[in-house]
Amino acid sequence: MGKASRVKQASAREKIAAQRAAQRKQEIRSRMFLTIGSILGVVVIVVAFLFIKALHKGGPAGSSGGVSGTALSASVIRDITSVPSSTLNTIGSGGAYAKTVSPISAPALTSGGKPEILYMGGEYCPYCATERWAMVQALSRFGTFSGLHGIHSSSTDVYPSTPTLTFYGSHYTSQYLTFTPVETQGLTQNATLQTPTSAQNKLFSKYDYPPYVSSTEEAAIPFIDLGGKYLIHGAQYNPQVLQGKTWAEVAAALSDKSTAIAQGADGAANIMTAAICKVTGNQPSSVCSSPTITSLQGKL
Amino acid sequence: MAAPKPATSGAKRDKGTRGGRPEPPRAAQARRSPARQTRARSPERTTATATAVQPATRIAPLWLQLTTWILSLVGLGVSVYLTITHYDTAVTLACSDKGVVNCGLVTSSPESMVFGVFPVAVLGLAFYVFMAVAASPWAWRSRYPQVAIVRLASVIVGIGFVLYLVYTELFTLNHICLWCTSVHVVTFLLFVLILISAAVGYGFRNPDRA
Repeated sequence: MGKASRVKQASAREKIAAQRAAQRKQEIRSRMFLTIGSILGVVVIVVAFLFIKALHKGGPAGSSGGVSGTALSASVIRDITSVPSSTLNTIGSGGAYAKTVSPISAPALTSGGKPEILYMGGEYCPYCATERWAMVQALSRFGTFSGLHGIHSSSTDVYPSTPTLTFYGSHYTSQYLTFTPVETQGLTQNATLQTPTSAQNKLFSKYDYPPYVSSTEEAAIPFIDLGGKYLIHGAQYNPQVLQGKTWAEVAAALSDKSTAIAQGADGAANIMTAAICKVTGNQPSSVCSSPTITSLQGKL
Repeated sequence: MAAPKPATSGAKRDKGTRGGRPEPPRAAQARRSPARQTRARSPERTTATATAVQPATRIAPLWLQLTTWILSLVGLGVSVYLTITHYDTAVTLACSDKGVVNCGLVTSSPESMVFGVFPVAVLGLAFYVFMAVAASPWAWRSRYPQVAIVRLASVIVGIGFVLYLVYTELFTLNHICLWCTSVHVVTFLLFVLILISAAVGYGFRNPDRA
């Protein structure tokens, strides 16, 4: 092989090497653009979250009706208090958390000669907001509510502005039990609404603290004492399912077993009904003899 | 009569000039011990003698290897702490519970469980156990590009999950957990470093290798 031919070959090799190097640089450059774009994308998303959050922080506290609440239409009340028993039976415990009702050995809690259901909560509290949908449903199987108003939980707490009903200003009648709701605070934690009696405070101080609850959950609301036989601390299902819904949407969803709201609220209402039946001596039988309720009673 | 010239340089020997005593290639190969052959294949050795044999994958600089590893270990440490506080109610998180920052509220919310089953803290722990291995210097020097692919895929999934958690904290829970945020920041830094290293080609097939 001549010298000229060797030089030619070397030159060709150099050219190819240079081309490859340029191609590689180009590839790296385009990958770098993609990389920087992805990193900026993440940063932009987080900044957007913070920006939206900052905008909402200064805004109005949702459509809350405040302490007095918003009057709800008769159809919405009917949807909440008259969920078909077929739906309730199908759902059973549904999406309610397991072991939310704990039995206690305490003196019977009674009022007016009837077993008493004591509820202590607050209007600002999102877990109380969640639990009220189930409570109204369950208690409506034993009696009749009037004066229920729509409110939203605090807009600055967890699960902000959860739609719910307030027991404040409501009235409940039943031949089987007495319902005593105490909404201790309004839409903010420092707004006192109702002051519990010393007897109610005693129950709260005893049964909403260890060993009846874990130390991390002591003094949590809602605190529900079912006739001195069972306790419920906190919400029985995920408040998230109620986010962004109107009262009417939640009320309508309660009868649709395919919705997460029905699975949560109806399931919780069934469990609470089973416990209340134990307190009322399984009265009325039309409610307490349902296979779903008797089955749930076995799990309490 | 002139005596034959002794071979003085390896170059001459390699060329097999008439004046030297060239070793036949086979003989040269036979003298190489198996251990030496293995060393020659290992990436760190070959970078040292890059002109001779290129490594199978591009090796990341040491500072990158160590930074990602240390970040992973920091993330692992915080994840262990969060997991312990999740299961042991006697241990409380060293964190404010006033105002927007409330670690206990965030870590005990229903959102702290994925699908109501897997605690987020445990998922974070599993992620960082994996990253502590995948971002270790040994993994960075692996000659298998699959390691880099899995590391990249994991950190992308990780940052996606972080965005979901940040959204949940800001809009669902309305509170922020500082310990969780520190893990989010570590994950973001890992995301940046691993993504850039992938763009450069570290850990991936070496194009210079013949």
